[in-house]
Amino acid sequence: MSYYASILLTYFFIDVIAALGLDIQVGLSGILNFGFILFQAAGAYTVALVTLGPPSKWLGTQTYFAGWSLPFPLPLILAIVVGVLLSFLAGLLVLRRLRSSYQAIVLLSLMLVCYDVVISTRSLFNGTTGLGSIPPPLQSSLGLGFTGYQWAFTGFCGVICIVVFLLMKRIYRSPFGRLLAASREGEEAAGSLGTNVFRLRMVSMMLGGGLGGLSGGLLVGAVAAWSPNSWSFFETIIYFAAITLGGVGNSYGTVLGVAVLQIGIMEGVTYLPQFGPPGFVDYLQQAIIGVALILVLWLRPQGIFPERRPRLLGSPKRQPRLPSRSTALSSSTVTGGVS
Amino acid sequence: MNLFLSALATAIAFSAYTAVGSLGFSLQYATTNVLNLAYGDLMIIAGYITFTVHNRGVNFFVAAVAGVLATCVGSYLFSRWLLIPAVRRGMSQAAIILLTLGVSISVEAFIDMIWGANAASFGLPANAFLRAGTFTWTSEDFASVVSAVVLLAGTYVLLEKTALGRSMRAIASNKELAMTCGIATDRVMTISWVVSGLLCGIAGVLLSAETVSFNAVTGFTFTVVIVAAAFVGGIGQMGGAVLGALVVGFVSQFAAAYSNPAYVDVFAFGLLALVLVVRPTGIISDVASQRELVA
Repeated sequence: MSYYASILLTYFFIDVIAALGLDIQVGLSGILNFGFILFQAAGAYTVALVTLGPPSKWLGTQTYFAGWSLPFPLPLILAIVVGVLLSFLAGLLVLRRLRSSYQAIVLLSLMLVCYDVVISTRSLFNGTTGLGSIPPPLQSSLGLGFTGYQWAFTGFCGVICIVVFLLMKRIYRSPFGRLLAASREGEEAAGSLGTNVFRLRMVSMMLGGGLGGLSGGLLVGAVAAWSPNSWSFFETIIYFAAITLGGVGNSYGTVLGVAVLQIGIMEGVTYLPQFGPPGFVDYLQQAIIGVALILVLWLRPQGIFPERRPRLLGSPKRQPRLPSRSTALSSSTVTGGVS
Repeated sequence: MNLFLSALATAIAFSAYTAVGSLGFSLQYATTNVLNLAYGDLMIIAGYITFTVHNRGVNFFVAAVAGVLATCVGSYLFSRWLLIPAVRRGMSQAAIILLTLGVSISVEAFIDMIWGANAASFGLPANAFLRAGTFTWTSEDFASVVSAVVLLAGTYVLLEKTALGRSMRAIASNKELAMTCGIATDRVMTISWVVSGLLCGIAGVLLSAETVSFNAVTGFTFTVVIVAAAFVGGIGQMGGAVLGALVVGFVSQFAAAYSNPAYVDVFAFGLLALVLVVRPTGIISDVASQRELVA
């Protein structure tokens, strides 16, 4: 039971880190990143490659390229670096001239291309089977025993998660965050006031990508394995459903969405006794995520906790209700009755 | 030469049913201006209904008609209950795309619940219908090409030569203006959705027959292929949809045949990303779509 609780809690912290990374791209900047899981996978594979040691060690049971055994903090740092670099490259492709739905398609196809290449090229990351027996960080040198180590790792993820959360809250209210939101609402207007929208969005893209890479690196530490199953497009949809439910552009909403959908529906149920025909629970989970996404977008597109408007110092506590109030997903402009 | 001929045969058949699918997709996009990522899942419903009815001992063609009608009805209800109200409410593009994704994964989950995750197959006799050297067409390939030619010609006549088609194109280019001119927009849009639903269903049956064994995920993967065809050619335009299907089909099949046969999707999706980055309006583009699509 204690083991179960620590595993769930670890997943929760890691998913919050990833979802915060996605939310700064989607919620704050309006970049519809359908390829998000690619950055998580990049971080995970990076950590796997630099901790597994030389491939010859496995006598052909798993094949991959490179293969080092770097000491503890380095793999995680590399995971972040790879996530940032990859999102920089993706940003160069999509942030210059494409509108959000086009960005979504390009990012989705980039992710699917990488996915198919990884699956059908065994020499990269062991193909469909994926990599296993990845040594969790510092497990041997801490000497805490099995459960003790689990809880230590959970605490480690928790600390990182809290730091990231506070950082995000700060960013959302900072001038940088306000400029991002302004460019999302009116790109031309923000640009005409001298904002370099491309550079702003690139920074937000790289921040999100770095957090994605970090979450991947931590996940590999938690489950000691990584395969294409862990990063199908469906995983991206779950993150999208989570931030949509909680409220895009709101860090508290992100935490709530992850707690309800990722932990409550996805991970929590996985450890319960199965019922129905084989695989039924998986399909039920998927159906719930899909229906939840539809219902939230239909009934409350701004999510449970809507994005907050920044309050200026010295302005009255209760601001007059502004007539137009929109987030990345709920637009306030009503485009006539014609359709 | 051997490799060339066999790749040519596959490329023509693949382009044929992709063209049918992307034509329906483009028609939807033109009338509603919505990027429907549940399109492939609607297609695969036709495959599953055909599969079930055919398994009951019904003639395959009758079963296929049932499948196509099921998708057609599904596509109509989907637009009537979800997409058109969503557009009417002024939902943002991003929210509508997410909405169709929600429908997509729900449909996949329900398909898995009803039919199980094991791949389904029509079990049609596998024989070469046409053979010339290494150029081999199965009867499914031949059916794809014939239906594609008939459907493309039919859609062309409908859109270009009839009064109804003129109204459909008018709505696609400017809805408000079409309304003001006295076109019965609601009725014409319903007809557009039924036509695109029929194309979607037929493409679904062809895809299911051509892939030999299909499952719930086949639909979504094919959505991206169709998106590739529609966008590479030039979204919202019938000529673009067909041209895009040919380009995507030939490039992906030939590149895969000459490198790694498992890479068909890699080349198709890579081409999509490349075209959108380099020339977002696709091969055929007009000024209106350029203004509207590129920020």
